Amino acid sequence: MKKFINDPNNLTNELLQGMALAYPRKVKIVDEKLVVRAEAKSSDKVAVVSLGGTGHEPAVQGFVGKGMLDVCAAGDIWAAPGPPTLLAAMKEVNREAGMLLVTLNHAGDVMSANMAKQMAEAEGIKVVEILTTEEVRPTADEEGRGLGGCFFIYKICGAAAEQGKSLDEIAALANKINDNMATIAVLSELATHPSTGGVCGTLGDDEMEICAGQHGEGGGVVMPMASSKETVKILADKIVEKKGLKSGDEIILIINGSGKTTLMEQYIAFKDASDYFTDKGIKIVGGHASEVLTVQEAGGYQMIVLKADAEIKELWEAPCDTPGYTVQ
Amino acid sequence: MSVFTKTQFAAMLKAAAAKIADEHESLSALDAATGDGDHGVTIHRTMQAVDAATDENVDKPLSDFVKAVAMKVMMCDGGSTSPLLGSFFMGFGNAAPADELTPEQTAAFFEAALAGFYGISKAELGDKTMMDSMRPAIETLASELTDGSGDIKAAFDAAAAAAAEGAEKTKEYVAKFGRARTMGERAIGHQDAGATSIMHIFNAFASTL
Repeated sequence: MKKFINDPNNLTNELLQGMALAYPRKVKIVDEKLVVRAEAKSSDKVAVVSLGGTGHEPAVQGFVGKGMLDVCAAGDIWAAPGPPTLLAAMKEVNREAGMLLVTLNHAGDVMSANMAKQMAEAEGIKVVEILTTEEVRPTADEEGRGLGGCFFIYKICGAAAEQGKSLDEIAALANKINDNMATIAVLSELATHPSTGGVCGTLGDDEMEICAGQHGEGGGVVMPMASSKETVKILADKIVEKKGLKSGDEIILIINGSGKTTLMEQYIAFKDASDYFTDKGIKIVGGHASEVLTVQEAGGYQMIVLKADAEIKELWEAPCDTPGYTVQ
Repeated sequence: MSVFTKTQFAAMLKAAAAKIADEHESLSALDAATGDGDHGVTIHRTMQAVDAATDENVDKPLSDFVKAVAMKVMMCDGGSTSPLLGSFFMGFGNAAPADELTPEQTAAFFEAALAGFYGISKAELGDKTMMDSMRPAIETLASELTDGSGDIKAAFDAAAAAAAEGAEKTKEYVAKFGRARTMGERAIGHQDAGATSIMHIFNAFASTL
């Protein structure tokens, strides 16, 4: 493993401190594991809270800031925070208007969120949870995990919260987004766990894996490497089929590089995807090609699509200012 | 031997932490086959917390001692291991009436921990998780203590054997939880890292008696 690190057991603390030092106007660190907005949102507005492991930068802690998350509880590398850390995050932004808790569907995150939510409710904290499950799996009866689509919930529900929408309205919006989005991952190179140096999974030199999940932990369909255009068609076909997209629909499209795949490749994939959807009469009304949720040096990307309506389009364009994403 | 003491339990926890410290790299390697390769990191950090919390709290009554261990485990921020083992230790605290337990009370002490674990895990036997070694270990322990000889050492030896058998059986299973879930039949042949950790822990428990 060739990584510029210090103590492999202190990666999370060092990276969070570095992020706060780089963006002091946007975020601050509280009690080592909570990333909090540098300037709190007014307390009559609903807070948006999330949790997650680290080692996925900028996700998920990097989306704390104006117009997105109010606080995010960090765990450790690829591991969710325990319930007390998430409870502390919820207390940090507790308010009468309540809060939306965004949980990505992974075993540790779900368990911690369930326990922390019970503890919070026992203390009178008003919280509604949205569990993101938007991953496209190889077969329709498998429950999807929560991949990079959490970004849409953070951005759009965060904007709604800034506008002063109620918790009920924001929870309904979160459900609408989860129902109308889909993410599919392709993996071309394996990730290294930065604490152990261990390589995660197996994949041949000339192979790629479709539906590979967040960490390249496998479970997808392995096939020979293909061109950008061919790969985009495989991914986009599955999204169109799963969401029933048709001519006249409008979408927001994200190509989210996993770490090793270059921005050049991400832009090429975005062009190919744009051509693909345009051919089908599906209009791209918003987009982003960048690293949103990475997995160390994993190669590949996630294609994230959200079917948009007027409400979603307006909130997508609203200003935000976080270490990981800014809209002026 | 028919009394189980707080001091014995503390020695067990420290022995388990030492065993996991020896095995954590092999546990990560096991996990890399079907998961993201960091189970050893997480369980090592968790058991180091158990070790430290034991030193800090062993002078308290058994119930407070195990609850303090539980809180420290949950604070480890170790993915599913934090709520799972945190609930396990919290469970002990529900059935710790004194610092010396009869065989029946010892059975109830461990059964309460299993109940705590069940409350959050939702995994059943055969799902290729920690449950596959934990449940047979504790059920064997309890039945040896209540229906068998009542001998503490014999009961923990039998529990360790049951945990090892349960861990071995996970090779035959498809995973239903965690990151191995999406592997389907490709997970067959690989022993579950979590079940293996629990096997090491019960093995260490028995070794102290």
